[in-house]
Amino acid sequence: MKKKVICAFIFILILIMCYPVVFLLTGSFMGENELNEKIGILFNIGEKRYVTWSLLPDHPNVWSFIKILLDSPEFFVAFWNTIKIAIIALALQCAVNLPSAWGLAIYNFPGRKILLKLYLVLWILPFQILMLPQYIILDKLSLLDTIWAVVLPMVFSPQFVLILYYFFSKIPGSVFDAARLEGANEMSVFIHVGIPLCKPGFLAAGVLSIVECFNVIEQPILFLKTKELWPLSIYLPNARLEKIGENFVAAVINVIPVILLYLYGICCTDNEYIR
Amino acid sequence: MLPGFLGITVFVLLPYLDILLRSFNLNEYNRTPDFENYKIVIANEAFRLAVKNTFYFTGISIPLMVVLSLIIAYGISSYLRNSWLMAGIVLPIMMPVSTLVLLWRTVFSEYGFLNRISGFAEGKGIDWINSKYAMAVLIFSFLWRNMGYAVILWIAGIKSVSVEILQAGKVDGANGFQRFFYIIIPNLKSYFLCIVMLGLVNSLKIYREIYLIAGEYPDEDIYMLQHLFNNWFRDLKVTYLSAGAVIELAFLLTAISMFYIIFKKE
Repeated sequence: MKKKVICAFIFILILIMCYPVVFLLTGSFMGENELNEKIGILFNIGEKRYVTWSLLPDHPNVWSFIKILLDSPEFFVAFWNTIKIAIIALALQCAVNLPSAWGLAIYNFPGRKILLKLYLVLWILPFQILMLPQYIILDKLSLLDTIWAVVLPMVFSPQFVLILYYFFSKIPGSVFDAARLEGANEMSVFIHVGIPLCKPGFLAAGVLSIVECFNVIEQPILFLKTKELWPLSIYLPNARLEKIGENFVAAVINVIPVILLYLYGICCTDNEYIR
Repeated sequence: MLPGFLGITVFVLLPYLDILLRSFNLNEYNRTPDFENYKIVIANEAFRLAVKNTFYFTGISIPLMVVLSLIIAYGISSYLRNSWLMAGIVLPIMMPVSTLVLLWRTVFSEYGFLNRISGFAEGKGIDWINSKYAMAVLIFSFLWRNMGYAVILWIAGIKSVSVEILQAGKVDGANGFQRFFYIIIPNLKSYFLCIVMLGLVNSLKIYREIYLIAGEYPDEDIYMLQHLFNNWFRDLKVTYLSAGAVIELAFLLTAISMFYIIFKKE
């Protein structure tokens, strides 16, 4: 009995956690009339009464999808910007942060502990403290109002290093010693032993970094003046999409890549780190 | 390894030094440090409001998150084990904030669900986001988003408690609650540290939610440090901004290191 109550409770909790995705999907398949009737009041359409909602659309159709995908170029620009930021940032992060995490985890050199603490502290500090100095530096490098103004500060993220550091340091050192005995030099130990062994860590860090790219708000607001450079995360709330359905579709398109990636990550790590 | 550190230096470390100097009015023309900026900033009403709200928000949401997630984690780890359920629980972290605006508006606005459920007459509901309840909405939003990983971490922690100790407790006659409070909880210290740190990091990022839900000029109750800093930034009040940032930095550093020391000692 007690078990059933707790199971039911947890089940409801998870429903609440996942419902927003369902909500967006439902909304995106509703027709414009249906949406106007149900939540039009939020957009000052129709008479003033409480919103209603249903689990499934009454008259499902893909009209909103067609409209967004074929008829709104700005949306594509914003979407493309986000993808560009995500891919460039991820690639550079791998190039820069993988070796640093490796060095921190494997080699013992003076100042290593201090360096680690430094990374930890820097990771905790919020953007508010950083924004002015970053602005000044980006200005000096004359990178303001380019995509690099958002990408570069993101590349040097302590979070990526810390996650990878954690995974690297979990690998037993004897594995590397074995590789060295077989005649591998340090470089090939890193490439052929280190990287494959920390694939789950890499996935976790990568997924988090991409999610961060879909989430950047503060940086583009401050660093990007040209609207053509705006990523989805600030394009969406500022866009004056005339139809409610388009808002839903835009949101769905924003969510789907992230969720697919997330599910892929879970399947890849074989659920080991979640279970 | 070197480029990574160099990058961190350029984009993170140097900036901090730079604002430190600026906050003391040090520049080419003025070689003696003074505390003028600090006096002005501390006396500033908006700054006080922002600090108060930030404290208020962090002080409520993090303990709430820690306790609730611990309870949920305990429930899950003793009764249910399914990795897809776990995946569902962490899902909110993955949702981009910007996509939440629609749902939050549907629920919390003047004609939204919450008013409908709570039985206000038509047209008499509260606009939750722009009222004194804004903070509650924000805390809910934070919990919804961050509960997931806290639960996952707690579960990992609870599993790391060795079965032998638990069974020894059982043999000695401890019931479920006693086992929970006297065996499991004391063994979870490092996880606690980790969860609180993550919570802190994310609670300082709450500006995103506020910006998206309430725009740049939100209700007074949810006016956070980031809003103030943004305003100063727009008005080019660079010295205030740096003084404010240094105060926040100093405070965070002390808080973190104190926290760290207390927990490492035991």
